[in-house]
Amino acid sequence: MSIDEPVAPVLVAGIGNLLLGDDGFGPQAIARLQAEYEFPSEVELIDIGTPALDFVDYLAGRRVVVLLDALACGGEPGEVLTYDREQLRQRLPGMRLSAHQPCLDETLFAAETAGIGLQEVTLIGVVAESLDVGTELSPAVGHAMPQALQLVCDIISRQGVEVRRREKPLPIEAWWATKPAAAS
Amino acid sequence: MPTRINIDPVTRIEGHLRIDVEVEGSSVSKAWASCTMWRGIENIVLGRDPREAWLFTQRFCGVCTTVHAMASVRAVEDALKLQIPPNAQFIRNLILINHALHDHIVHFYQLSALDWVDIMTIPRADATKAASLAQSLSDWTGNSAKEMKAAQDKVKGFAGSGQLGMFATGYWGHPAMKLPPEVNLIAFAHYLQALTYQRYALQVVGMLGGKTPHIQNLAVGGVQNAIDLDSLAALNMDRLYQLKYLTDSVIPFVQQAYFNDACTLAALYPEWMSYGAGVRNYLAVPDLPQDAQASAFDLPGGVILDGNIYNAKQLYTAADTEFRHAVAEDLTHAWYKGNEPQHPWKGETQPHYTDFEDNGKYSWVKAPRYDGRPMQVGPLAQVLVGYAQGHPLTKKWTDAALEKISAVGKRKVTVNDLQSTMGRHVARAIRCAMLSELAQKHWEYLVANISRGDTAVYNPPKFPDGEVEGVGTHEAPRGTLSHWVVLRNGRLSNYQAVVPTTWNASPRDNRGVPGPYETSLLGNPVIDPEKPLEVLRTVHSFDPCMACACHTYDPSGKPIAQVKVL
Repeated sequence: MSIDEPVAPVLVAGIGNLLLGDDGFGPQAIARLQAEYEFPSEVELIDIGTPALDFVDYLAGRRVVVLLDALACGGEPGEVLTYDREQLRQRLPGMRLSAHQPCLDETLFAAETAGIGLQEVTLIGVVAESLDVGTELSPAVGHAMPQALQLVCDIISRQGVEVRRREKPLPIEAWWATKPAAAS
Repeated sequence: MPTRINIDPVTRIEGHLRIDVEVEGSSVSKAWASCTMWRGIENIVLGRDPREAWLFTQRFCGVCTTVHAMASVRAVEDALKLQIPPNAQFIRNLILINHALHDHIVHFYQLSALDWVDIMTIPRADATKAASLAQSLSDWTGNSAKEMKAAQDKVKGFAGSGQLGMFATGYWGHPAMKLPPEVNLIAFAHYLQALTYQRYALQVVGMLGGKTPHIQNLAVGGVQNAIDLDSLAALNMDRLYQLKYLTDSVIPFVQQAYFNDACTLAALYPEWMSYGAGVRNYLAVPDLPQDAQASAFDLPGGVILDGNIYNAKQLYTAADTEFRHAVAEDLTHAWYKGNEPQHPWKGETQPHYTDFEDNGKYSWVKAPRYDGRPMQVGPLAQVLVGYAQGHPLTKKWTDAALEKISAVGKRKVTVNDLQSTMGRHVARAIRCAMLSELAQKHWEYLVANISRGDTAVYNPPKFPDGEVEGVGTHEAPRGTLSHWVVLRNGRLSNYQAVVPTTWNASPRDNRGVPGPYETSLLGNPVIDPEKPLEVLRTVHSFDPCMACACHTYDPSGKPIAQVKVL
């Protein structure tokens, strides 16, 4: 019996916290991709939430990794910026105080240390406007969504993998979009 | 003049724990622990359907998603007095056990071992000598000379290229690093192996949970795993044996590699069994119910006061009456409105930010108190309350650890020595070894129950009119977790999560009594204030987890330790 089952060579992972406004951009983008596009079996989409080093486990066996995340940097809210592996590598991981804040860079370094060789890593980021508690994206980040999704599809297509837009999008599975009842 | 050291991941988003210490002479004289991020995230579930709360609460954190899902459904079931079927109980237990196995392995190797293991000495280690030393310490099969050589080559590779990557910020060469190069090499070889073995445990969580992170198989009233031995699509014997195979693969690593490494570390750093005890009141709730009624548990709960480990009070149920009434959160030094301690069912989370005030408010973490006392939670608390009660499994592994440490260190250590910084690491390894046995036991419970023809997994909830209160507990990897709910007419009208790190990272209370992190740092040595490795050792030994709720990427990256002379 084999323990490590084969995985799709292309991973698209949405990172972020669905409960903190624009930080939910990554997971929400995954839900949109699943609803609006058809991907072949070479591509796996994961709403990864806010992982720590366990993210490394999801990188094993991949060739191409596309990360979707909110950015906490200067810039216009809604601005879409991409970073490649080299640019991510430029940034040294900061010293950790809490053991559970390994940043993305560290995850990628850990993957390398574990012998996971990724050919291509791209981070598609959208500059966040608000990270306050809530399950809705700000209008600026919401508007940036189609552009970010298109970038994901472009990267995958460049791999020679066909991505098809659904003629009729599926309903978005979004448990977080339900509205709380007024206090009774 | 004291030197003030402020260790603060300055970045607004990624860093959430700030530690301030004053060092006089060469040890810590004052300490403050501050959480720099608002944790009012519970408010998001108010007014919602209690059946979906767990979907939200497991997004509180990125590492412990599973535990917040579990505490949430347990809280609602407690409020409804709703029992779940035996299969649901065992499936949940298997998820919790395997999540904890994964979590403990990663914490020890990936997140804290490098506080003790100087990997920059590894290039000059004798790999053959390291292998024979490792083989003399344990039967673990991953201790061959070939294995050691491969790990050493890895270090030589990145040290030679100058690309230290994730190891760029370690305190290499620090005078408090004392292990011989060969021991450092053994630990690093296991560090690399740990990356593989922790994954097997996580795969069990994924198989039963349907997805990980963020399991999908829970329900208020049970689980959503269809059991049908004749169906390929459901939980059948084939899948059950796949689970067993994964679990069985992790067990030798835990019992022979991790357990031994933790004991060896303790033996070779004996001084760290005398620092860092901190608050000597311990709290653990019972967990891993053995039946549907949760009338007996495989992990005992209890309360120990003032370090008196021969006099533990037992907690008999997951939400003991005593526990229900004893917990309150003090807001005196936390950035919230109000000062009076609040019971979680009455708890409010209204922010009131001031600056960091040494003698005023200085943290977003509330100060939980148990009958007015700060409590230390986590594996050490779990091990001590079990040991005090003579719990056989706890005693077996604790005695094995004490024997091992004494033999390797040639110095007798007792269970009392576990009340220390190093003791927390040893206790975590003890608990992990216990859980590795329980993984098999609860798999057997599940299979035996299914073999009796029972395939039930769910009892539907009924929500009463009016108000009901409940508490759901889980003895999580980092300690006692409790979710407190108030339901009004079938909707959530209050929700408070008192998480393990809230207990341990608690600020001072209305009487000025500091929390476990703060207390544990007093008297901690600091050789070089510019490189406060010893402070990190003690803080990391608690396995702090407060940074997970928000994870935006900050491309700038900033240094974080600041030192100033007062």
